[in-house]
Parts: sequence; structure tokens; C-alpha cells
Amino acid sequence: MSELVIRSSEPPALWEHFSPVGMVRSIWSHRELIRNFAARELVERHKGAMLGVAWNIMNPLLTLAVYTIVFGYIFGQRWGKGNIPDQFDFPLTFFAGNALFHVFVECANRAPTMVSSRSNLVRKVVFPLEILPVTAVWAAFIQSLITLGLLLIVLLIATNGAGLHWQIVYLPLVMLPLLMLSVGVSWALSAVGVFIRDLRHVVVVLTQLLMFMTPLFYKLDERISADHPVLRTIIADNPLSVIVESGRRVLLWGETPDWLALSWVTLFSAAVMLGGHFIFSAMRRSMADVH
Amino acid sequence: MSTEMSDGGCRMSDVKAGSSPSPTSGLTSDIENTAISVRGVGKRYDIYSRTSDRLKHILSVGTRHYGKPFWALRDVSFDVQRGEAVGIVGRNGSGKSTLMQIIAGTLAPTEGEVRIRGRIAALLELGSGFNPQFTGRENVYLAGSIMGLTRREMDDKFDAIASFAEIGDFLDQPVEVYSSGMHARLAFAVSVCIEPDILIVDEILSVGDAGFQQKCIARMRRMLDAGMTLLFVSHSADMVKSICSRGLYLQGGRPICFGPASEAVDLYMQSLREQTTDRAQQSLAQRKPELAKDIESKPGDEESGGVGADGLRYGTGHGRIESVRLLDEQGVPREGFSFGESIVVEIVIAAILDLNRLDLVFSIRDKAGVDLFGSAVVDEGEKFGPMKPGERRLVKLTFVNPLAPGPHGLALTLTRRPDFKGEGLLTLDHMDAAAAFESVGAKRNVRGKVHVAVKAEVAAIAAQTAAALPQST
Repeated sequence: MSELVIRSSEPPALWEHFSPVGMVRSIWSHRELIRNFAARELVERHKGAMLGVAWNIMNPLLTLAVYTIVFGYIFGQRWGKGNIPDQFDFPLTFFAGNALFHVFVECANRAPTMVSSRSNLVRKVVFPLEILPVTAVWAAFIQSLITLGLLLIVLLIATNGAGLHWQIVYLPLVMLPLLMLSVGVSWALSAVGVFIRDLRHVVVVLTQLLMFMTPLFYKLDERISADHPVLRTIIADNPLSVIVESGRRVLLWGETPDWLALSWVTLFSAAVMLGGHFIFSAMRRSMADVH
Repeated sequence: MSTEMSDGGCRMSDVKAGSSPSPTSGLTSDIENTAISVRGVGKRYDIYSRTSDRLKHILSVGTRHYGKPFWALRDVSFDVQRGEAVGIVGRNGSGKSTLMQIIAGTLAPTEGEVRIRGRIAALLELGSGFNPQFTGRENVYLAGSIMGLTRREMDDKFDAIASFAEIGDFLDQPVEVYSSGMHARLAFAVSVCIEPDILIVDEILSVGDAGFQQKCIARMRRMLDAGMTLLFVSHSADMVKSICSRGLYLQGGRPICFGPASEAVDLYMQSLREQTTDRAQQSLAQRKPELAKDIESKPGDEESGGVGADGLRYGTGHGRIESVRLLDEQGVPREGFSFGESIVVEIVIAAILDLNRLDLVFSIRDKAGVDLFGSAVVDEGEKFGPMKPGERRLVKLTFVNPLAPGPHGLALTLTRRPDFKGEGLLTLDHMDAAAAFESVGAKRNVRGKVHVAVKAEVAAIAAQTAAALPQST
């Protein structure tokens, strides 16, 4: 006889939603669905365009070209680390940081409408809604891999093969907290976004602020003087800064990450992921009611 | 079958009693055989007049309510045995879909609980969770993985799904270009081919064409025989009656009847008619209170003439069909008529209010209730003229019996025709079974249900002219 399923009016106790095992199992058991949705999304993104999927590669390439022309040749800015030729130094550094940072920003911006815009999946089928934010993160991750791959090719050409360092093997350790952080924040934002539709406007502003609070296109030491210790700490130690900085080290500069900082960020990201899953799971029951 | 269901009646006491869980039977086999057990289920929505109220509710972590409560469903209890088919009927907004969503698991109940044994496939309304941008093929695999089937399992089932859906090359088109019929075809095909233990069909068949409906019904019957449990929501009374053994009739979120399908459906149909009549009587009561009372007392006394007492009857009541008789040419009442014999329908109508633009429409039906032919007094060039309250008219309709042997029925409708602007059409009195008769002993073959005079000619053709005739190829 098949398993008995009980749909009760009694909501499960709040603590039952806190389930690291459930979180991992849910992602693992729906991995095929996630891959399917993410692949779909990358294809859909440029659907109808003549070059189609090729834009997934063209877009970052052209962006890099623009950066190189503007920052490398016109402004002639230099970051001044590593052994990258002058005109490529600033563009590549900015580009590498942005590729990582963008994974988070894109997911956070999309999260508030992620579930609320899919009412057919909320009401009409028994769908594992919690995978939707995961799907978005996975798609953004794949896109960032494409972007970083292009970056490495340009780097190799620009430095005649000397730009590639063995420290790049640490890249997965940099990516891991980025993905956990993105998924956790997406879970929380997408759950709350179902109930509070104004959230997406707030998030857009916050991500903009975050962009300036992360040393993406400036060097911390050059811009923020030691007279502002609090601001310095926020900018230098926010998780995304650590991830961006670590990414640049392993990709461009041939340095190992700041292991202590990265460990803290990894722990923090894991906590955010668990928290996000808890929020999503606790709000899941009521989602169908507001659609 | 538990004892609750073995008696044929439509007993609401059972349903109400269910809101406090009562053990149906001590036998485990009985419990094992229950596919769905709904106990005191209710669903409340809070209607917020201001969005800030919703926010307050959320911030209170669901402990306090600031909106106006609205119960979409309440006090619903019933058991469905394995292999049983239950039809759910009710007007729009009666809670049918809410109940299906709770059973399927997309909505959480506010009260009570639902126990389910087995894998559920739910076709909830149209759209059914397909992703519009994905192709039909991708959606099939997606639906499979949502249901927990692996890709390989879906590979095995795919051909069966494709051939059942019969949508051809559209399978590789995005679902957003599908017609609603194609959508329903694919959704249904997926749901039946993954062989669920419990199938929920919510109004999805109504968009398919007749051929597909038949196919779906045949398939559902076969699966029911194999032990599948079916919950079937439909507005088609006949479909519910023919597929389901039992029926649940919901009104305003409350169960009115849970019993044999035909009873639940009839009760529902009756309520639909009463609603129409109620409205007419309300408007009548405002204008002429004493007459409205007179009409209310009428529906019982149907002894006059051959007015079918068990027939379905509705209308505004501004005018009434008082009696109906079937006579032969000599004016003798009869119940059987030979093929080719004249049938005279004699009807007395009475005006309750001032009436004009009257017409009387009749229709002859076969035993399944299908209209075969008919006409109307005005169509035949006759007129009623204006009638004063209390006035009566005798109407005679004569036709030659063209019917194949078998039982037949007569439906009558007294209407007010629309005016020159096309407005004001009113059904004053309608009777589905105004009279019944038997067509007997045709001396000739009647092919089909009705015979229409045909002239047949055969002539010999001379050999030389044959060549000049048009060739059929």
C-alpha cells in the first residue's frame, strides 16, 4: 500500500522549517529540474535575437572591449598589481571583480518577483518552488563561468601566456561562498516578495548601494582615507568585497586568498543560505493564498 | 464500502458529522482502501481592504487577522474509496476548485485535514502548470520530473503520451502557441500516462472536442476499473452522471449533498432552476404580490391534463402552461401513435400578468433528451394577441408522426418574443417533459430517428447515352 500523505491545517512548528538536511536534499533531488530550468533560461535570454545563444559569449566580450578602450586607452587607469600590461590592467581587474559581483546582484534583483511572477507554478501544480531561486543562481553562475573563461583567454593573449597562475585552482573555494550567499539571499527575497510587492524597488536601490560599497572600480586605499575607519571596515570586510578580492587574487595576481577572511565569509554565507531556506520554507504554505 | 455510503440516500447528516472525526470502521482493510479522506476541511481567505493590513498580518507571524474573513470552503468531510469516481458539482465560486487544490496539495487548508494514499496527478483548470515558453516535449519531461519520475521512465512513457495527445508537430512548439484544446490534450495525456493512483480532473475536458472527450472518458473508465480513484469536477451534468458513482454538491463553500452521483447532480440542477425562478418571482412579487403567491402555490397541483409532474420546469411565471394533452385526429387522448398518424398536441395557456408578443415553442425529443424537431406557433403563422390576466388560450399543434419506434417526449416553452430592438426575450414557462408518448409499429423502415419524405426515382439508361453521363472519377 502506498504511503499516507496528510495535508493538515496545523502548520508545522516553526523550528521544523530549519532543516539543513532538507535543504540539501531538496536541491540534490531536483538537480535535473534545476539544470533544465537554468539551461533553458540561458537560451531564452537571447531568444529571437539573430545570433541567439552566441550573445551569451558576445555580450561579455564586447563589454570587455569597451572597458579596455575606455579605461585602458582613454583614461589610462592602472590597478598596479600583477604582471598585466598597462592597457589591460584596469579593464581586466574591474571585469574579473564584476563577473563575480554580478552573480549576486543579478540574483538579488530578480528574486523578489521570482516566485510571485510564476502563479501557474504556485497554484496549479505541486511544484518545488524553492528551486526557482536556485535555478536563477545556477544560470548566473554558468554565465559567470563563460565570462571568466573569456577573461582568461584575453589575459593569456595580453600577457603572452604569462598571466595564468596556478592559484586559479582555488577559484572553486571563492565561488562556493558566492553561490551560497546568492541562493540564501534569493530565497529570503523571493519569499518575502510574494507578500510585499514593493520589495523589488527597495532591492534595486540596495544593490546599487552595495555596488559602491564594494571596491569594484576603485582601490580601497586610494579612495577611502584612514580617517573613516568604519566605512573602511564595511567596504573592506563585507562578504562580497572579500569574494571579489579573493577572486582577483587567484585569477589575475597569482596570490592565494586571505584564508582567514575567506573562511569567515564561507561560514557567514552558509548561515545566510540556511536562514534563507528557513524563511522560504516557513512562508511556503501561505504563498498560494495571495495569488 | 463503509456503512456510511451503502445507503443510497443523500444524507447531509453524515457529512456534518464528519467534521468531528469519527472512526468509520475498525478494520484496517477499510482504512487501507480509503484513497482520500477529507475531514472537516475549511479554507479561509482574509480580504484586505488596505495592503497595510496584509503587512500587519504578516508581521504578526500569522497570529492576528486584520482582514475580513471569507470562507471559500467549510465543514467538508467525505471519504473516497480506492477505484471510486466522485463528481463534484456546484456553481462558480462554490469552492470546487479550492477543494481540489487542497487535495492536490497546492493550497493548505485552514481547518481540518486531508489524508491521501497514493500518487496524485491533478489537472487543475487550464494551464495546469505548463511553462509557456517551453515546448510541449520539454513540458512533458518537466511534468514528469515534478511528479518524481526519472528521465528514463519518462522516455518509456513519452510515445504513449504523444500518441494519446495527438497534437502532432506541435509537440515541438512552445506551449504558448497552443490552442486551449491542444493544451488540455497534452495535459490530460501526461496525467493519465504517468499512471497516478488518484486523478483530479477540474473542468479541463470541456475545452477538448467531442472526440477527445470521448477518448478521455474511455481512458478514465479503464483506469477506474484498474483501481484508480477519480475526482471529477464538471458543469456537465450528464458527464458526471455517466462517469461517477457518487457526487458531492457544494454551494457557497458548504457541502449540500454527498451521495449517489445522480442525486447530487439533480439537486444541483434543481437549485440552478430555482435560482432563475426565484429571481423572476422576486420581480413579480414587487409588482403584483397577490399573483406571486398564486404562482408559488402552483407547482404542486399538476393533476390537470398530461403535464408531467416529474418534469423539469422553470420560467418567470408571468404566463403558464396549464395543461397539455396528446390526441389523435378524432380528439381521443392517446399515448401511442403509429408512424404516419397525425398527432394533435392540445395546450391551454393562461396569463397571470398582462402579456404580449407571446409565442409557444415545442420540441420533440428522443428518449435521451435530444431535440429531434420542433416548431413554434409564430413560425407557423399564428398569433396569440395581447392577453389580460386570467385570460386563457387553447393551442392546437398538429403534425404527422415521422418518428422511429420508441419512447419520445415533448418539451414546451412559453416565451415572450424580443421586440423590434431585439430586447425583452423572456421565458415565461418552460417544461422539459410536458408530455410523453410512444411511437409504435412503423410499417416501413425508419432509418435514423426521424423520417423525412423522400422521392426516389430509378430509370434504365440506354447504352449509348451512358457514355455521355459524367464519370464519377
